[in-house]
Amino acid sequence: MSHELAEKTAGLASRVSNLAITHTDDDSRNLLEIQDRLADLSLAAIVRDLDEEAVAYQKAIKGLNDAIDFIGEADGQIANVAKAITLASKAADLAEKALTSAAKA
Amino acid sequence: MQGHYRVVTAPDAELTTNSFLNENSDIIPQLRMREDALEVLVKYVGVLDALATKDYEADVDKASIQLAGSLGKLATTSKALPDKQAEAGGIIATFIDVVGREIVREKRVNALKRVMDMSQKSIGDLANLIVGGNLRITEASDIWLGRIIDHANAIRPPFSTSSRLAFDERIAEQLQEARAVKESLASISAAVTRIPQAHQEIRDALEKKSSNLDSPKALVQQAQQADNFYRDLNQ
Repeated sequence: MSHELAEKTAGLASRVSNLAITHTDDDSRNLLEIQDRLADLSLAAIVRDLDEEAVAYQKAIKGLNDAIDFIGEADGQIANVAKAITLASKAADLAEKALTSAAKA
Repeated sequence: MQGHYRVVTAPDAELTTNSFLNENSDIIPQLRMREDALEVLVKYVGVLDALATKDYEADVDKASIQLAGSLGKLATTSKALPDKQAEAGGIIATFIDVVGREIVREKRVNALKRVMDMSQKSIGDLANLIVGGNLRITEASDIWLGRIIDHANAIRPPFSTSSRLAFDERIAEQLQEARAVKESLASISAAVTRIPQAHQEIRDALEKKSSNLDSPKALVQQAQQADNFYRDLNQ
């Protein structure tokens, strides 16, 4: 298996997918866009060997954990979907930063 | 499948010459590099096979030249990869030198032993590289397929319409392709995993007085079997 970043990015994408199905309109569209972005990032993470000790990597894992913990195993509508979108989007930003940093190293 | 994934997950933007490209998540170089690594493995066992023949000198020269060509190809392909796998080209770079020297100095059974001793670890490294890459490609294909299905469900035409039939047929092709990819990769990994152990067993058998030099042919068959699976995968 590949490293934690790839697994957690794919895991969050799956959770965001569950939310996108159960929400509507802008919330659903935003979640689908984040899901596509997370899927692309997990593919990028799969093809790279990353330094798990790097600060950017650790921040990305924390961001992914925060989003995963908040969304949990929700498979229906949740009260604060705006916060879920914010956390998932932030996690995607951090994962992208970790991958960009690794590419420059 | 990767191409279809890029199309269905593309953002809502005007088409340009760079549409549907994403080099950061492109798995194709991984696949090409593993194909080249497997080719090196096949050519290496070809050298062993040549060593085991009676008129070995001409065959060894020919097999060594082919192996050198494959090593050069692997070195070029692996440079395109962004991580430590780029070292793969160096793993077996000593094969040619060893084969060339030993043929001149030793009788062929001793040459075979020496080549196999020096290559045992590299064979294991190469097999691990191929199997590890197959796992990555399998993970990626799961992600492609998951996103393709999600997007398909979001835009699937209504039941009992002609467009639904055409749409579902396209998705069925994607599902079939995904199953074929995963089955092929699993078969390649299973075949490649057996190669280092088979290599060691053949080397051990060379110590026995009664051993014949036909045994490298078994390795050739295993490596070629795996190589054929890769060729199927590319079709």
